[in-house]
Amino acid sequence: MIPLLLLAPLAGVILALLSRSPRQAALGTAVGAAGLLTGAVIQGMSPRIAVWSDLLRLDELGSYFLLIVAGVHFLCSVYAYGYFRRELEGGHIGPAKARMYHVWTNLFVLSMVVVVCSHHLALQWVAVEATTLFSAPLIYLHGDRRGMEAAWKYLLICSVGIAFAFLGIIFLSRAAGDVPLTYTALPLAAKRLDPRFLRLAFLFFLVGYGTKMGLAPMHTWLPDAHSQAPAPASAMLSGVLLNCALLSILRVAPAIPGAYASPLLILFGILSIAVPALLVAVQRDIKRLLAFSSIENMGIVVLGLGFGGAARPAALLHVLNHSVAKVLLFLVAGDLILRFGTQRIRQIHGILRETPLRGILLFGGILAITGSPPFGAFWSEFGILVGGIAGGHLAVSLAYLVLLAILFGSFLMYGSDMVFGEGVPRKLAGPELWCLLPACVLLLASLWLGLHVPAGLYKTLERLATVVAFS
Amino acid sequence: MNTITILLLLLGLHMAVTERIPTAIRSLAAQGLLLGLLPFFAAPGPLWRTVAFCIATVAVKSVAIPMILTRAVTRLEIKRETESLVSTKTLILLIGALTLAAFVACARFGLSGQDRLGAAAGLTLLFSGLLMMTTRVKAVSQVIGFVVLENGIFLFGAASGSEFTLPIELGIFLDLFVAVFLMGILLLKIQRTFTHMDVRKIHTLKD
Repeated sequence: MIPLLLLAPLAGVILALLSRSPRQAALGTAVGAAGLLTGAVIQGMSPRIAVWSDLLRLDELGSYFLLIVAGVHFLCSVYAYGYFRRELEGGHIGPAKARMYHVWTNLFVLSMVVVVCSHHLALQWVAVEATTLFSAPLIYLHGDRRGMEAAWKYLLICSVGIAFAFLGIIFLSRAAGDVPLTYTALPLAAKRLDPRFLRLAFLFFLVGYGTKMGLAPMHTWLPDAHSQAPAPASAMLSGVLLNCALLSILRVAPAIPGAYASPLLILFGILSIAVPALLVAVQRDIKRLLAFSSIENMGIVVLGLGFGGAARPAALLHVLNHSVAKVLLFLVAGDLILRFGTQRIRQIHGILRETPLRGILLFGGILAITGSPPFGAFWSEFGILVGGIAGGHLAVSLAYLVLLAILFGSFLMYGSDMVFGEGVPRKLAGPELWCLLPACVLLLASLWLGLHVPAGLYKTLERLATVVAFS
Repeated sequence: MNTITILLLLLGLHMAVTERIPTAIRSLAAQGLLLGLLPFFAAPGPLWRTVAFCIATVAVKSVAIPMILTRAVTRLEIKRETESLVSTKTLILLIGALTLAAFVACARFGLSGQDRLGAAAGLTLLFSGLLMMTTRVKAVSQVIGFVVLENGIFLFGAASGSEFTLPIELGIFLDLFVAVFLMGILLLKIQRTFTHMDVRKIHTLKD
């Protein structure tokens, strides 16, 4: 199975390279993405663990993350077709660059597939660094000044962060001795490993991969990078790349004593919720707003993992809920930016009056990302709160609740400003089916996850929660 | 082994304090050569493996990366780091303090003899690389700082005896090479659109 999963994005790369036009390249990406999604679903349904040599192994946890990657990639590839068609029509981008988008995106997805399939932690490190390298060209795709600044910051800060994660791997191999550095072998040997080196290793993993995840205070590159990339790339960066960095931390977790790891996760988690709560109120750019929300949501996930107990499956569920809602928002935002010709929030208003579907999508997305019922994120955020209180972290839980309320207020304010109110009379082009369809699918998915958490999913998450539990 | 470690450390110190960027790049290439010798002192393995590591290290760290940097420097016509955010004296003092801290840390973690020297030197290089990245104004110097940091981690890893299978090691080299390659491309592009290469002026995106 694994060779096929790797082959799908690779085929996308080759098709994009062979294509003569951006349209053909987009079709190539869509074909590769459909193949990856099919493979991920088949693998997700089969109870067998896919193994390929001793380096690659796809277990249930990896499968869960792979399904999110493949689903988002497929929807984004459909969206990218419509998005770049309009960018090309508007003359915002040349055909050569639009084609290169597809080449880099497929390479980027390929490296993410390797991240989720890695059995050996050093191989996973190589793949995470590769995700940085393949996604950096996406950030400066337009070739303007801001994009290059953002890409420079991204490349430098994330590479240094990842270098620290490598230091963590060196400590881990020091602790492990003869035990191979695979996520199956390490937890079994956890009791025999030198605890000093294990703790150091986890600290460096958390700081290193945490940089890549956008945890505060290492988050400074994230709002720039995520706001400068083209919309479908922003959606992938926010919706799935951050998850891959999280998975890299989860893989080492079972070997680490919980008494040491939990307080660290709670600290980074609450900090990553607090920083956006303070900064969101002064944002002027719609994509930067969404980027800060990604920092917040990664904070929520890490906080949930730190709380442990009932919060742990909820945190894993939040990974999915965040991906669905955030990708939805980035896709709608990209469409609105093309329509209004600006990223500035204040110049976007009256969406509902002019184009009701987009108004519903944007407002629904904002409700979904802030964890309001009846959307999926409500249950996962609530589950984390319950887990926190049950675990005796009363003060942190209270702070979490207050910060979420502040964020909810800020987002609702921005959302109602953009969605309601008098519209500016504008000549709007007809609806772009390929841009709106993926967003509709995502909104329905978020609603579905909120109205009815599938029993099978919940059982799976509870099983996965025991897999990622600290020793 | 000890001689190599000390030479690596001295080269690192030289890069941290020198203002002339072309000389710094030459020191970087020399560091790459010395790092290429390290596999011969590591735990005994098959000869072809040792030779492969040596070649990969020298090819990436001592040939490819210095070439990319030299090309950027000649294209951009940069000769020296005109300003640093801190003075050379402060820099030397800081590095001295960090070296001491690195040795104390390594001693506390029960490394001994040759290993301790290697690990401490690795940490020192890592610190001085970070210091270069944060105090230097020119973007080229930041890339050099990043490579010094990576060299420090390489030395630290070699001294603490961490070894991976060949595909992973090659992947690590490839990642480093592509990272520096991309940074080199961005350097030239940023220069073309900004007409300056002073990172203090890159702040359009500030909140």
